[in-house]
Amino acid sequence: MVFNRFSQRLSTRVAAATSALALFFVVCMGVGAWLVALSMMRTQAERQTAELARAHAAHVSGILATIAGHVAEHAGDASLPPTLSIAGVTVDIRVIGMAELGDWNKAAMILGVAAGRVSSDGGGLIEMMIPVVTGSTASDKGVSWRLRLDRLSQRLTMPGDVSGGEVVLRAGGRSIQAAWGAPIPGNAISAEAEVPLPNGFGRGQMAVRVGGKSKELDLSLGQYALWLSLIGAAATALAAALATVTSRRLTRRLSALADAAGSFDFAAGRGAHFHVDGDDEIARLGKSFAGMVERLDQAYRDLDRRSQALLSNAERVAQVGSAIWEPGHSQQVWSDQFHAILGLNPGDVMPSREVFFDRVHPDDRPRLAAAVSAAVQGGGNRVVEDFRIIRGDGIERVAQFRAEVARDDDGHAIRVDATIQDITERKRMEDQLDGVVRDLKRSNEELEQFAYVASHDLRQPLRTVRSYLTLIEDSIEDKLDDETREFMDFIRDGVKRMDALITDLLAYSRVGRRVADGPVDVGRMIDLSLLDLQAEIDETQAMIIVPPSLPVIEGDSGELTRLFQNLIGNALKYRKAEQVPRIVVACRDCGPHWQFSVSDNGIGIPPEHRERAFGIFQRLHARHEYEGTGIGLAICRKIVERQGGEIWVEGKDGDGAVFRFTWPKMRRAVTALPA
Amino acid sequence: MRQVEGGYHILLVEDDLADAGLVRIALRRGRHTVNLHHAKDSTEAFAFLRRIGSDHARAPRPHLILLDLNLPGRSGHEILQELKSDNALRGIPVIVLSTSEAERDIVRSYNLGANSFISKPMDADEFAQHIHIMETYWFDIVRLPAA
Repeated sequence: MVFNRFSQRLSTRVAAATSALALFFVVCMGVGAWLVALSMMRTQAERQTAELARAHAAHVSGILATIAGHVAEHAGDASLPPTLSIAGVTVDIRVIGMAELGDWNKAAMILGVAAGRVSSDGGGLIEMMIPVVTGSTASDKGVSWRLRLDRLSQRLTMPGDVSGGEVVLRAGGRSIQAAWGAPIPGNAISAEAEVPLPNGFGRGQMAVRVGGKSKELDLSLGQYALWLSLIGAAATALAAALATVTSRRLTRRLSALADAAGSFDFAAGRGAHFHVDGDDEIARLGKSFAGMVERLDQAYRDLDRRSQALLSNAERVAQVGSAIWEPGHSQQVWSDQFHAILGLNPGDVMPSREVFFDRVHPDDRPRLAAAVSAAVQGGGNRVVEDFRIIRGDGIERVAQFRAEVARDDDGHAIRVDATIQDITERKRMEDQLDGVVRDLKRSNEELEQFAYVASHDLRQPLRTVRSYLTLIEDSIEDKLDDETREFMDFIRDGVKRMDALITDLLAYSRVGRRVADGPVDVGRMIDLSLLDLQAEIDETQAMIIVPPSLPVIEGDSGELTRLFQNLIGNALKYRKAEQVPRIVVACRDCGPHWQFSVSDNGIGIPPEHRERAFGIFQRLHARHEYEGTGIGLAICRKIVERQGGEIWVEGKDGDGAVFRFTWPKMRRAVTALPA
Repeated sequence: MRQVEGGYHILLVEDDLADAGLVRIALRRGRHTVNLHHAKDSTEAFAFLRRIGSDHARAPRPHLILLDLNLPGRSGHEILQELKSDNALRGIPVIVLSTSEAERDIVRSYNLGANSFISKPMDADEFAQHIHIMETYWFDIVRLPAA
C-alpha cells in the first residue's frame, strides 16, 4: 500500500528502481568476488597444509630410518647405551634374549632378519628386534629398540595456521597413532600425506595428517566482507541519490508537459505552453507538442469557422433558426438566423426565454409555452407547433416551432434543441392551394350538376319534340307533301344529333369519375368491345387481328372497353370504300409502361389534322360522309391521359392510320374525384 | 285478357303535359280500358289519393301509380317515400317513369319501394310500346288487389 502510494510518482519509482538495481548489482558482484576469494584462499591453505603434511611425513620417515640404521649398525656392540638420542628423539634400547621373544620374533631372529611390532598403547609404541649377527650366523640374542611416536611427533613444529596433527603407522596389520597440538576439528582445513616406511620395518605405511583453522584467512574474509558492505551501501546510496535527482529532473519536465496538455482548451482558443528548457528528447517532445497543438488549433478554428459558416448559410437558406437551452434556465443560445426570424440582430439582446416569448403573438403564447413544458416534463419529447411572430417592425410572420428534449439516464431533461422556421410563404401558398382545391371541388360539383341537367333536363325537351313529331307525322301522314316531309326529316335529324351530342358530352364528362380501378385483362376488354361492334364488323366483313396474349393492366374495365371500342370503331368507320378493313391490335412492353397500337388500312389522317383529331367535337369529315359527333377520340385521350399515358396517331403514307397509346404499369397518384 | 269493370285506374304524377299526353295516347291505343288520372305535383297527387277536397271526394283508389321524379315542389322520391310510409297507400304498385338514366336515381327509387323503374324512351313509338308492355305485365300477368 505504502509503496503503491509512493510509486504513484514516476520520480519515486525511477529512483527506487535505480537504487534497487544498483544494490542488486553491488551485492551480486560482492558475493561473487567473495566466493572467488574464499575459494582461492581455501585452495591456498589446502595446498600449504598438504605440503606441511608431506614435510612432516618425510621428516618422521627420515627419523625412523636414521634410528633403524643406527641400531642395526651397532647391534653387535656390547656397549650399546640404554637410550639413544637421535635427531633430538630419545630411543630406548636394550639387549634381549631369545627367551623374551615371542615365537614369531624367535623365528625372525633365527632367520637373521629384523622383526618389529607396533602397539597403540602409550601414545604409539614402536618396537623393533634386530638379531645380533656374529660372523655369518645370527646369535641367539638381539637388540630391541623402542620409540614412542608421541616423542617423535613432539619434535614436529607447527606453522601459525595449523593447530594440530597426527601420525598414523600401519604395519603388519596393525596401526598406531599419535597426535600433537590441538585436536583437528571436523571442519578444519586438513591435509594427509603418506610415505612408505623405511627399510627394516617390513611392509607398512605411515600417514601424517595436519589441520587447523587459518587465522589469516578469517581476518581477510572478515575485512573483505566489511569493505564489501561499506562499498555496497555507499554505491546504493549514491545510486539512489543520483536516480532521485535525475528522475526528478526528468519527471518535473514531463509533468510540466502533462499539465500543459491537460490545461489545453481548443474551444477557449488558448494555446498551451509546451516550452521545455534544454535540447534533449523531452524538450523536443515539448516542441513537437507545441507544433502539433498549433496545427490542431488552426485546423480546429478552420473547421469551426467553416461549420459555423455552413450552418449559418444552411439556416439562412432554409430559413431555419436554431436554439439550445437547459430546462429551468432562462438563458438560451440562439443562432443568427434564430435572431433574424424573430426580427432581431445578434448581440442586441441577451437570448432568453422571456425575449423569445415577447416576440410570440400573445394569442399563441399560452399554447406554445404549454407544449414546451409538457415535452420537458415528459409528455413526449417532441414539439411541433405553428405560431405567429410579432416582429419589432410590427410585421407578423408565421413560424413553425420544433423542439426535441434530450434526457440523461435518469430521464431528467437536460437540454432542449429547438428550431424555428419562417413558414409564412408556405402558409400563404397552402391557403391558396386550399382555395384552389375548394374551387376545384366546387367546379366538380357544378360539372356533376351539369351532367344531371344534361341527362335529364336538356334531353327532355328534345324527347318531347321528337315524340310529338312522330305523332304529328302519324296523324297527318297522308296530307304531307315531299318538301314538308323533308323538313320534318331535318327536324328529326337535328333532334337526333343534339341528343347524340348531349349523350357523348355526358360520356366525356364522366370519364375518370369511376374509381373502380383494378387489374384488368386487356384481351377480355377487347373481346367485349368487339362484341359491341359486332354489327359493324359483320357488315364490313372486317378482319381484326388481336394478339393471343395480352397483359393484365391496372385500370377501369369500362373505360378500357370504351377505349378499344372507340379506336377499333373508328378504324371500321373510316375505312376505304371497296376495301375490306384490316385492323391490327398490338402491344409492346416498354419497361415502365405498355404501348398499345390499333392500326388500320383506312383513309388515314393527314398530318396537319392529327392533333386536332383528339379535340372535343372535332370532325374532319362532313356528316354526310361519316356519321358521328367527333367526341370518340377526345374520350380516348381523356381516358389515357387520366391514367398518366399518352395517345397519338401516326400515318402510313395515305394507307391507313396507327393509333398508339401508352399505359403506365404503375398508376400515378391521382386524387380520386367524387364520382 | 282480364278486364276490370269500369276499367283500370292509373294515377300519373307528371308535371310535363307533353309527357302526360304521350302516356295518355299510348294508353288509349292499348288493349285495356284505362282511366288515367293526372296529377301535376305532390299536392294534387295526395289530394287525389286521400280524397281531399270536393273534386276528389269520389276519387277511385288507383291500381297503379306512374310517378315522374323531376317534379316541381316535392320530388318524386319524396312522394314515393310518403306513399310507402302510408299504410293505406303502400299497397299500390308504383312505377317510376323518368327521363333520368342515372344509377343513383334508379337505386334510390328501388330502395324507397318502387316496383319498377322505366326510363322514358326518346321515341313516341317506343314510348307507346313500353307502356303496352307495362299494361300486359301489370294487368294480364300480375294480380293486383281490388281497387
